[in-house]
Amino acid sequence: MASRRRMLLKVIILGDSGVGKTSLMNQYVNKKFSNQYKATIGADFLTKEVQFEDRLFTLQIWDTAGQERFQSLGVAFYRGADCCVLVYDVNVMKSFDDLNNWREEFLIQASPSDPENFPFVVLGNKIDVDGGNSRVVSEKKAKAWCASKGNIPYFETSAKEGFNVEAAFECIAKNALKNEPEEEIYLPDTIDVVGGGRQQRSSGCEC
Amino acid sequence: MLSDAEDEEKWLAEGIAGLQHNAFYMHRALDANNIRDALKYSAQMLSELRTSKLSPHKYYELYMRSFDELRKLEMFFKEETKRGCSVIDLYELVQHAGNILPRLYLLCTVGSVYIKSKEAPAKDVLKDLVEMCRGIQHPVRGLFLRSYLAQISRDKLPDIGSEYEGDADSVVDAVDFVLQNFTEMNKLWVRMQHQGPVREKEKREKERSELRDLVGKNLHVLSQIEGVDLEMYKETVLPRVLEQVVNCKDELAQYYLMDCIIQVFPDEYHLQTLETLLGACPQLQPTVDIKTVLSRLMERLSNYAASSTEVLPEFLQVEAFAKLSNAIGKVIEAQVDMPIVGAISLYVSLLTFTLRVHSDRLDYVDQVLGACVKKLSGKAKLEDNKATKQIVALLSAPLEKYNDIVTALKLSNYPRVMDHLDTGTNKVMAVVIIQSIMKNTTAISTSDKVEALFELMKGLIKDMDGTPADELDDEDFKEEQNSVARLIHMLFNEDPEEMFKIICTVRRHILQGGPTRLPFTIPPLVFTTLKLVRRLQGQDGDVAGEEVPVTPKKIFQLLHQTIEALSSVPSPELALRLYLQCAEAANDCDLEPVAYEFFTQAFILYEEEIADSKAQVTAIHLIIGTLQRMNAFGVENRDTLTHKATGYSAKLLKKPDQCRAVYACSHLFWVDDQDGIKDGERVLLCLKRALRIANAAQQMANVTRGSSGPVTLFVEILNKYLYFFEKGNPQITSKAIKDLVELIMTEMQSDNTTSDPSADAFFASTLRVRVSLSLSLQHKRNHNNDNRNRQLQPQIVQRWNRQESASIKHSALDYASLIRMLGKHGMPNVAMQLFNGMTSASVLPRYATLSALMLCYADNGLFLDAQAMWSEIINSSFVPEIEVISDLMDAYGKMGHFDEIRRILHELTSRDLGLCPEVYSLAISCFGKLGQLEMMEATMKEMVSNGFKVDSFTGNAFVKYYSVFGSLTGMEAAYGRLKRSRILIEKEAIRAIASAYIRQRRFYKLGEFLRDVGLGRKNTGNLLWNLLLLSYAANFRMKSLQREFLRMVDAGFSPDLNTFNIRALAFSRMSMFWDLHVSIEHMKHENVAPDLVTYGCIVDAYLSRRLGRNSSFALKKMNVDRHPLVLTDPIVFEVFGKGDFHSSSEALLESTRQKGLTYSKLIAIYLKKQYRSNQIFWNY
Repeated sequence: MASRRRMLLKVIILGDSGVGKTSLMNQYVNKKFSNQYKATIGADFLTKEVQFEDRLFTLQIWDTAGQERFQSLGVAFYRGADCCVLVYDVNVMKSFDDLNNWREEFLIQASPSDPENFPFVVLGNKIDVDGGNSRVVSEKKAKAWCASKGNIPYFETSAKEGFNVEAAFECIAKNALKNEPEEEIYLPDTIDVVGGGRQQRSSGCEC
Repeated sequence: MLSDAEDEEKWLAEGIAGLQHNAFYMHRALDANNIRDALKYSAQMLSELRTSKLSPHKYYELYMRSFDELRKLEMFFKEETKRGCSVIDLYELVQHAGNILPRLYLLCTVGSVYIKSKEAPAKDVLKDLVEMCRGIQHPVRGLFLRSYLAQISRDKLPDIGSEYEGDADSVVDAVDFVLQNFTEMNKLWVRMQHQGPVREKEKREKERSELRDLVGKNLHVLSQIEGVDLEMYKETVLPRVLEQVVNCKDELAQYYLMDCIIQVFPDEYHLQTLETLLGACPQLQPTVDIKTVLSRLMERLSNYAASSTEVLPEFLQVEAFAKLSNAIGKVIEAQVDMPIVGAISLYVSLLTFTLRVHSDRLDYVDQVLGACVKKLSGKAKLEDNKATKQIVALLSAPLEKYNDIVTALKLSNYPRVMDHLDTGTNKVMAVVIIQSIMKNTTAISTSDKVEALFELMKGLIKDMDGTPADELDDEDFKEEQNSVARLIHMLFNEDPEEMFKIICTVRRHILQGGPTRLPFTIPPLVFTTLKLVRRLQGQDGDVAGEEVPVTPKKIFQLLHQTIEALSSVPSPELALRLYLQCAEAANDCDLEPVAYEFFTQAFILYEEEIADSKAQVTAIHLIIGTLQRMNAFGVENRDTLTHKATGYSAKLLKKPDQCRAVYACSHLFWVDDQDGIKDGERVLLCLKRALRIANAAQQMANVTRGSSGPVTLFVEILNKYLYFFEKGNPQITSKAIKDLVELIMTEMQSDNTTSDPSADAFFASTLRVRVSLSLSLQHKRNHNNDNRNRQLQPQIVQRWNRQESASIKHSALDYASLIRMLGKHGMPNVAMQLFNGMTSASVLPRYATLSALMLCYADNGLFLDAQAMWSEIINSSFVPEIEVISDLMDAYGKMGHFDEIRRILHELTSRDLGLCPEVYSLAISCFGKLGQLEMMEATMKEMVSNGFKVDSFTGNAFVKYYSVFGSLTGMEAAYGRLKRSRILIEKEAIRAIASAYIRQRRFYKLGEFLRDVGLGRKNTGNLLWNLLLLSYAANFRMKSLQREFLRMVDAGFSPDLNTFNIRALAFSRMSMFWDLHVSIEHMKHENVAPDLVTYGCIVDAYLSRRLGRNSSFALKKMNVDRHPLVLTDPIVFEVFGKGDFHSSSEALLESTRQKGLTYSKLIAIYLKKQYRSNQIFWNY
């Protein structure tokens, strides 16, 4: 049944270590911010209820480890994502340069059916730092990149100040909703009235 | 038999199928609100997770699918409770599931809803769940189950400020819960290594490593709990986590969890608990890679310190340095087996930390270096490449921090660390030091510092023990020694005495350098010393009664000895130059005997050491030049030296060399200063002697080659005559000059078979100078010189006549070409006189002569005269030639006389000479070329309104100039007009338009334009297609690029070099190695030879990814032994610029003129250059 499936929107946040992925999620979900850097391990998600056109949705926001060594199990959780958020730090050029890798990596690993039109949203975070004086990636440059990748929506945010975070996630939710889910329509070979017709394969122990 | 991986795929596929099957029925049950069926099928679905056949990676996939399905179930449970179903009942109900694993997953899922409902305290539910999970003791299944628990409870912990915090629930419970789950998970994880057969241990360790994040994630959750403040972290969290870490006694777990602790908790916490954290290190298993753990900790703390100065007091307060230093010492002591590189990299981290946090504490820095020395002592020089790299990093860090070698020189342990480097690395480090000095222009201003510095870089200064000199790369060696030379130039102190000390110190060091180094190091030392001499020069009056410690005399003595050292090389040419420099300086200090002594040394070298004839020529000219500038010499000394110089000059091996040296000697007798010597007679003697030698040379050439030699020598001597004549030497008469000119003319005539254009030009310009000379002298002297000009003109004419009649059978004389030549040489006056002479000799000027004269005037800016000529032509019966009109318009145009052009246009069109369309076309091009678009436009309108048809050439030119000078809109309008006139746009205009679009980076527009022109057109070759490809490549639209390329081939165009290079450039910039290879193969297949640009694509692509070594993989498909050429259309560079390899190779090709350069050589040179620059700027 599609309706239940559609009530849950899965969003993946990707980006280099230290760009503020966790902070953005925390600011959006809990309205909290901490200046301290704490690495994320593995994948972690928070949920948030959002209302959209009189319907309630649950936004499942997956925060990921930016450091590769804390991603030991791989990225199976990309599966079934409705939107991918790419985050970089406007004060660090490399984090912007790496966006392309993150995007490609996501498209390869999640392999959505229509990669050309899969919704991405790009966030340029930490615009508050040093009053914008230490910034090295201009808005124009970021927008140009987004335009070249099929007009990805772009937001400049500050997780610290909460600036633009709400608007960004609203757009993220909207785009996630627009993404036609790849319904893996499963039809059993035979409708099994008795149920459990497949033989149980026994495993090593009884737990 | 299936391999393991295939097996696994099969198991996973089966698991997924089973999962989907049950999920399907679960959904149906959910839709039907059938809770019992829903539970039944979900339990069956979860049974798939009971498998033991999957690796953690695959299991994770299955787990994620189950996880997603469980979210739907959870939503259903939530709805059920809203509909009035008791969550407690649900909690009971799910426990009826038959198998324990599905049961616990379901329990956790309901538990999540249970906590949310707040019908029971969160802590009770959590406690229950975490206890229940003990039921699974299979490590993989248990770890995943508990990670499920961690995830669903993640946002339901009774954290401070959370909605689940209450009277009964506090953050302590939250922490307890997570810690308990963590402990259990760690136990499962550690225990895993002991389960299963020993032979699979390696595989198991790999699997354990994959599972690590499941355990580590608990620490992440802890760090995210807001209630975990410093107090709680210090008192509860860290001790309990560390307890678990230490007690598990497992290498993998200890290493990983220490890393996690450092990464997930904030810096402030680490600082405040440094003792506890570091205290755990020695308790870890001896095989744990503690150095990486500690390095990462220090890196974090260093970054933290660098983030804000406000945090620095924290570091001081907790005595971070002492604690870290201590801990490192203990670790190094405890782990005896740690390789040396490990210890050094720890010191590097500690040093980085120290420099960031305690940049003012040089003693700390020295302490770290000292500890390193201690560790290294007793060991031979390091052979381990990695370790030496670390030492270079260690030594470079203070330089980078302080930007000042002087600070580093204060570090007593700095040189001691350097001593442990092998010779090669020692040199690299020395070069790094010099570069730091250069970059920061550090002043090294005392001899003590210089001493210390040279001691530090002794690897560059002298041969170290056991280095065979021949092992050195020549180019490397040169670069090293050049940097030493640069350094010597940098040394300076205001105080002459101290400066002298510095010089002595440097001298002492460099004299140990041996014959290979001295030629590099002695010249800078000599020049630095001479600079000191020049400073003292003014103040050298002997101050009575006062002891002057440093006198020029003393310094010259030192210089003498220094240069003498070159005799061991030997390098007589260099020594000779330096002696001459010193002589000149001594001359300026008015020290005649010293200067004489230096000259004597120079002559001795010349006589005894310089044997090569070319070197002799250079040396003698240097001697003459220097001697000429000497003014300190008395008559006797001067005569002696002059005599010698003239003597040697006449004894050179080749006649022309003799001749040149001898006439150069003439300057020794005529110094153009107020009190300079002026001995006109001896000047003339020299010149006459030179003439005799030139004559002899001429005759010799006659004998040996059967023709006369070049007259250049005579012309050179003529120039000397003219010089001294101008300077007023009475011995040089106008008659002598006239004779010489005549002689040259005769020589030239007889020389007509082997006429040398450069000699002709030289003579012509000499004559030109003479014209101006005689004019300027006219009112200076009342000689009869003024008629010389008049004499000259018939001479030229005469000579011309003779030549013309000799070579071409002509009845009438044609002066046109002569006038043209005079015009080009900027001699309109001579031309005018010639013309006047012609007319006075009643030679009737022909049209060609008139127009030549007119152009001669116009080109030289004599517009009034040109106008007069023009009127004469236009009013005569001559019909002006279109080429002449074109040249004339261009001449006016260049000077900005646009009105003149319009006037000419009107004069011509109003006369209707049948030239109108051509003339209009000319004017249009002329205005266009100069960017006068408005005038071009007006002319075009006029042309059309006068009823003339615009031809293809004019139309295309019109478009072209709009593209070059106009706006895009203007250009597009012009192109539209061209189309409406049904004129086909041609190559040149297409290129101009394309270029305009490219300048504005309107690549899409460019594409549109090309399609509009018609890509099917065949008569423009590949131009249109190539431009189209370029438009896509410019934006790196790789797919479109590929598509259009295929279309191009389909349309029957065969790709050429440009086509391939456009693609290759795009591939190269995008690092699309595979496509690049395929393209090269394709090129080969099509027999298109690559050019420098193609090679550049490969080299740059590989180097940009630091794969220089691998480039041979691609290059071996290409012929690298060819001579490098650039054949690519320059418009390509307007888009891409020139690649690094391309531009650097071009520069090399231009500068060296080295023949026989091939691609392979260029690449080798370039790679080496890149490698070197990488090496120097090692980025640690």
